[in-house]
Amino acid sequence: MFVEDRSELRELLQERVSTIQADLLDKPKVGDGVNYLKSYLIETHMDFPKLLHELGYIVKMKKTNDSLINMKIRVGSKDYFFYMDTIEERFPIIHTLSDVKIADPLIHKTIKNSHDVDHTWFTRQFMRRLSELGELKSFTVKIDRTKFNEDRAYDIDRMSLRLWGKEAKNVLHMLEKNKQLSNSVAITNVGFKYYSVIDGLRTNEYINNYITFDGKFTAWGASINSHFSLLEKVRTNYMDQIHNIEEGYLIDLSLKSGRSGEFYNIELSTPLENIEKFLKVLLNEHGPVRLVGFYQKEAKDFYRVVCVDMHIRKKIRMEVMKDKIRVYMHDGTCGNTIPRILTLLQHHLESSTGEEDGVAL
Amino acid sequence: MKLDDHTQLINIGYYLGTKGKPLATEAFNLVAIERFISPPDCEPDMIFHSNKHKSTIILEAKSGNNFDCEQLKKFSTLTTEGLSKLLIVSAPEAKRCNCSVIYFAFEHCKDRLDKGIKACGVDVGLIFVNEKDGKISTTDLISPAIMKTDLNKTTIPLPFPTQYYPFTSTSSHLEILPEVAIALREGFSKNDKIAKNDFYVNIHPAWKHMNVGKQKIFAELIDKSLDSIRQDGLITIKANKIRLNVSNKQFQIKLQEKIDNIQNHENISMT
Repeated sequence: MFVEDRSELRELLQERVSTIQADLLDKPKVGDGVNYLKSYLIETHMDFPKLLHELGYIVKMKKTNDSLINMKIRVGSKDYFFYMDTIEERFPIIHTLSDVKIADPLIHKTIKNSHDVDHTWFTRQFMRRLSELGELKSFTVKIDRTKFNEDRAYDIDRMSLRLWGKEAKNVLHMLEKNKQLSNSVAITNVGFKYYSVIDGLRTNEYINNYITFDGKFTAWGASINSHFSLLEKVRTNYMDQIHNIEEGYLIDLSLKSGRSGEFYNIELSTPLENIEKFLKVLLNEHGPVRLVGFYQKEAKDFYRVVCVDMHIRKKIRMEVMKDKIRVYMHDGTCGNTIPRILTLLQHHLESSTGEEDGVAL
Repeated sequence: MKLDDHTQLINIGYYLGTKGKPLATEAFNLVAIERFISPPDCEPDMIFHSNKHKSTIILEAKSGNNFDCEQLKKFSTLTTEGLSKLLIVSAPEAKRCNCSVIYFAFEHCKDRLDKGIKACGVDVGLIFVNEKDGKISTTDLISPAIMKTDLNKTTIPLPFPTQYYPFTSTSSHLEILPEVAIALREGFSKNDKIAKNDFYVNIHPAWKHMNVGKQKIFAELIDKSLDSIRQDGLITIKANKIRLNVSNKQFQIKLQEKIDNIQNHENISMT
């Protein structure tokens, strides 16, 4: 259904989240057509409903006076409702109560087919900070090096571990501290109970949330207020980080503002054995990082790269050494490129990539 | 494929002006790169200005070619007030700001540069970069504004950063081959056509800010790169229009092979 304003949306979503009272320790199971509330924090440089139109979706749209856009989207023979909060135009949040089998592919397909819309990308460090916002009850850690590990430089090729339980925080800490494993534990998902805080004091209002590294929040529990409060906290934090990247790392050769950005440095804790092999995977359009480009050897173990980020079709330059990657982004490139590259390298090369460098992501 | 010394030096100069590095720490902002200034008809490589120090620095990269006394004399006539009138520098009290010329070179050029400057009789600051340990040293002639940053202790990590200003007119066309390649790879698909003039703009991030003379020299370099790609049959050029003859994927593979081959050939030649 379409809502008239934010308070009506709040009522609608509150009713749904309080219907599902499963504990965080339970695997999420919902039957009888009842779906969880899903909220997607995305980054966009264009009108999202217009983009859906361009991709061939039939969309009916209604704007409210308080920066909400109702979207009724036809998928197959059915209509599904999505509510887009556009208070922050570049970082809107899309809420839906639709089936995950409809909502997830719709969001992913739209982002994949557009150069103006992207996920938000939560690095391992960001996910760890998120997990500290509440009582951590579950997490997933993963690594998939099948593409980057042809010569078996790493002992672990692929790993996926999901844990539910009260010891989640301790186990995660243990994994991250373990010498053999610490570089193979990219955090892709955290589940925790988040309590609203007023004037520094924890209230009884809470929400259960599963958050994935690409900005998806799945919520249920007692209070929609807590959900909105959590989303706002994460959005503000993420926006600050992108702002810092764009302030410090976009190189302005036009010199309009008289400032000059610097390169973004990504340190690798395990030196690359064969840089050319690494670059062949890195610069493969169908590879995990979705960069396309050319490299040129400048000196021993020092390569210049000019490439296009296929997510946004913008040119970036890199210098790749055994133990570091310097990323040069010229004005007009989007700051979201850095957390995306870092997150994907963490998931496919080493999970500690970029832990100590640049803006704290 | 090592970038030429001049491009390297410009990049190091740029690097010194980025966050946390000496010039930026002393609040010197980069206000121009390779900008033609008339009068007095000269083109310094970089101009930095600091309102905090009421000071402008003309930073000229010297890569060891012939010393040009006339050029130095022209640089020495530049003033902050003059640059302000040309809208290059924005200084509230331009008349009260000083303006220093600093030559920036690799250490192996030191003797030749010293000799040239003495013969020319113009006061100029000097900064030398030691290629081996990446250290920067200054002479006594250096501008007082920069002395505060104690550049003697500054160490630039090697290998030098190279990609702020990707290439200049002095570069070999082979250096810009990857830049031309990516513009072709991403600019259009198989059988698409693009006018050469539109293509040039896609290559250099500062193309629109170059003067016409520099654009012309640069276009010649791009043409040489295109010609080299054309010889492999990957593109056709007719009536100033470029057409891609293969799919993007094939282009990517073939061009990377070509770049690797050039690289390998260079290595063989060197040994």
